[in-house]
Amino acid sequence: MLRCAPVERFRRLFIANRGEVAARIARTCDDLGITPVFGVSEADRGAPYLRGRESVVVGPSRSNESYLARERIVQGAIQTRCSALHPGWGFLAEDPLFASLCEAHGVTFIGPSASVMQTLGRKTPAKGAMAKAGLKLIPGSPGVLRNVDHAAEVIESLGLPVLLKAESGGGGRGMRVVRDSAELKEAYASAQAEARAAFADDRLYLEKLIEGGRHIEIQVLADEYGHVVHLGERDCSVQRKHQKLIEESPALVLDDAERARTLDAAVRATRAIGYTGAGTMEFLLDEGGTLRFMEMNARLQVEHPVTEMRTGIDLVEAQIRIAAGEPLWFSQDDVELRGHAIECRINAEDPSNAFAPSPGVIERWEAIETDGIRIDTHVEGGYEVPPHYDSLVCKVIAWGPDRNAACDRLAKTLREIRCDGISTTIPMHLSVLASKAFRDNRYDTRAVPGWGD
Amino acid sequence: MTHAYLLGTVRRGPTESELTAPTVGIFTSTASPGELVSAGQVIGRIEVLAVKYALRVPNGVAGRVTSDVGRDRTRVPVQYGDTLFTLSTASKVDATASASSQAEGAEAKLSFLAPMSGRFYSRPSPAEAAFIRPGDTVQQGQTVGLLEVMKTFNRLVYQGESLPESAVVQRILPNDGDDVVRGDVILALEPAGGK
Repeated sequence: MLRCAPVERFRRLFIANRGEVAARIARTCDDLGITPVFGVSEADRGAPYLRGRESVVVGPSRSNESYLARERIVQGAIQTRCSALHPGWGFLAEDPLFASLCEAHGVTFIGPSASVMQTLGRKTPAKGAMAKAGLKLIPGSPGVLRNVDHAAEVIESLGLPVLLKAESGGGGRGMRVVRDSAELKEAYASAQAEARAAFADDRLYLEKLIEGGRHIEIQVLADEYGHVVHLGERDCSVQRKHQKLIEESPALVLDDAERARTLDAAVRATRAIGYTGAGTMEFLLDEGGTLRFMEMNARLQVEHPVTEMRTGIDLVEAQIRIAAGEPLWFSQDDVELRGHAIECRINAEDPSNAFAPSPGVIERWEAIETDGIRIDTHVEGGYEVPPHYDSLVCKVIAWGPDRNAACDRLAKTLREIRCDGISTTIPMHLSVLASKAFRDNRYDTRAVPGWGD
Repeated sequence: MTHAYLLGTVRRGPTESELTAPTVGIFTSTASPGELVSAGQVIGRIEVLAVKYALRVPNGVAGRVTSDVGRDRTRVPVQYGDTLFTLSTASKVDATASASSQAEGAEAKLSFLAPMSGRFYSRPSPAEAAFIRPGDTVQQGQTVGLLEVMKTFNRLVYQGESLPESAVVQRILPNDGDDVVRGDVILALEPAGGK
C-alpha cells in the first residue's frame, strides 16, 4: 500500500541515528524522493551504509557527545539544510526536549508532539492516562519511587516478587527483578546506574512481577486529524533479560475476544491522548488471559517489519507523511492482516558464552533475500562492529501463509547466512525455531524456548 | 562567550600538528596568519544553534599557525574532526596521558587486563564509593569495576588462572568513565604477602 504521491513538504531529511535503523529510514526516503542526510559519530564515519550518501560527523564516538547530543544534532540538520528529522529508535527518539529543540529551530521532528512524548516518556503518568481510556494495568507503585526505602514500603503492601523499572526507560534497560528483600538495595543501585547511563534519568518505579506472561504489543498509526488505526498485534515473548529476540504476528496465544477488545481500546486510548504518528502499546498477557498495559513507545519499533510484512504498509512512510501534515490514506477497513510474519534479531553476541558482546570485524557476510524473506541490515563484509553501541547487526523477517511456514522459511534463511569474524546469535535462533516448545507456542518471557542458558 | 571547547589535536609529524573541530557547527577563526599560539589561548569560535563557543588550544600544544580554514571567510560550516588549523610545532608534544599510563601499567609485576573493549567505571554508581582503592587486597571472584560494552554493564571480576588467589592493588590505570581496549591494563598488582 505504498502511496505513490511524493511528500511535498520535505526534500531533505536528517537521520539522527545509526546502523540498521538509519539504513532502514534511508530506504523509504529513496522511495519517496527525499534526500536523506546522516548525522553520524566519529566511530561510524565511513560505515558502508553511508557510501554514496550525504553525512555530517556531529561528534566523537561516545554517544553522549554525538547521538545523544541534542544541540549538535539539530545544528547538523540545519547546517545540511534538512527540513525534517527522523530520530529512529533508542538515543533521542523519545526525548521531548529534543523534539521541541527541533521544532524551535524549524526542523520537523518525525514523531508525536513533545507534550505527548512527555506524558508517555514518564511511565507513571502514561499508565494513568491509559487506565482512563479503558486499558487494564499491572499493579505497582503509585508513581516514581523516592528512594530505596520507599521501594521497600511499596513492596511490603504489594508483595514480592516485583520488577524495578526506569521511569524514562525502554528497551529493557534499567530493569531489575527483586525476589528477596535482601536483593533490593543492590538491584535498586544497578537499575539506577543503568537508567542514568541509558536515559539520563535515574528515577525508578516498580510493578508486581507477572511471571509466566507473554509480551504482546499493538501497533497504531494516528494522523493530525483524529484518524487512528491499529495494524494488529505482535508477540515478542522470546526474550533474554528483557531484550526481545524474536517477534511475530499474529499472537496465536491470544484469545480472539481479548484481542478484539484490546485493539479497540488501544485505538481509543491513542485518540484520547492526542497521539500522532506511529506508536506501540506494550502489554503483558497474564495467566488469566488478560492483556495488561505496560507502556506506550512513542517511536518506530525495532520489530516494525513484522507488521509491514503482514499489512504491506510502510510504517516509515506513514510516519513521514503524518509529520508532513497529510491525512492517513487508508481506513481501518482497508487494513488487511495477512498470513504470519516472524522476525529474529541477529546480535553480535556469543550465545555459547553467556551472550558476551562480540564486537569486531565481519570478515565475510552473505545474507540473501528470497521469496517471503526480508533482510534489514547495515553490515557487509569488512564492516567493523564498533564496541560503543548496541549489538544489533541484522534482522531477518519471514512471511508465510501460517506460523509453521514462516518459521521454516526463517530457519532456512538463517542456515544460509554466512557471517565470519564475529559471533552472532544465529545458533540460538536456529535452536529456538527447531524446538518443540517454540513450535507448540508453549513458553513465556522467563526462558528462551529451546535454549538452555 | 562564557562557553568554550578545546580544539582536538592530531599529530601529523615531528613538527606538524592539526587542530580539529570539537563539534559540528559554524566556525570562525580569530587567529592571525603566522601567529604563535599556545595552550589555553582562544583562536576561534564555533556556533552551535546560535550559541558561540570559544575554541581554545589544548594542553601540550604550541606552534605557529601555517594554515587556517577560516582565514579567508568567516562562518564556515564544519563537522566534528575537520581540520581547522595546521600548526608548525617547534618542540615535540608530550605523549598522551593514556599512553603513558598504559606504559606504567606494563611495568607492573602483575596486571589485570580488560577482557573486552568498553567503558570502565570504578564505582557502582556516581554516588557510591569505588569498588576498590590502591592498597586494597583483591580476592579471586571479587568485583573490581564495571565495563559498559554495547550499552550493557558487565561486572569486571578479578579472576584468571595466571592471577594469584589474592593480590594488592598498586594502581588503577583507567579513570572512571575512560574507554579501554581489550587487553589494556586495568589494575597494576603485587602478589599479596610481600614482594
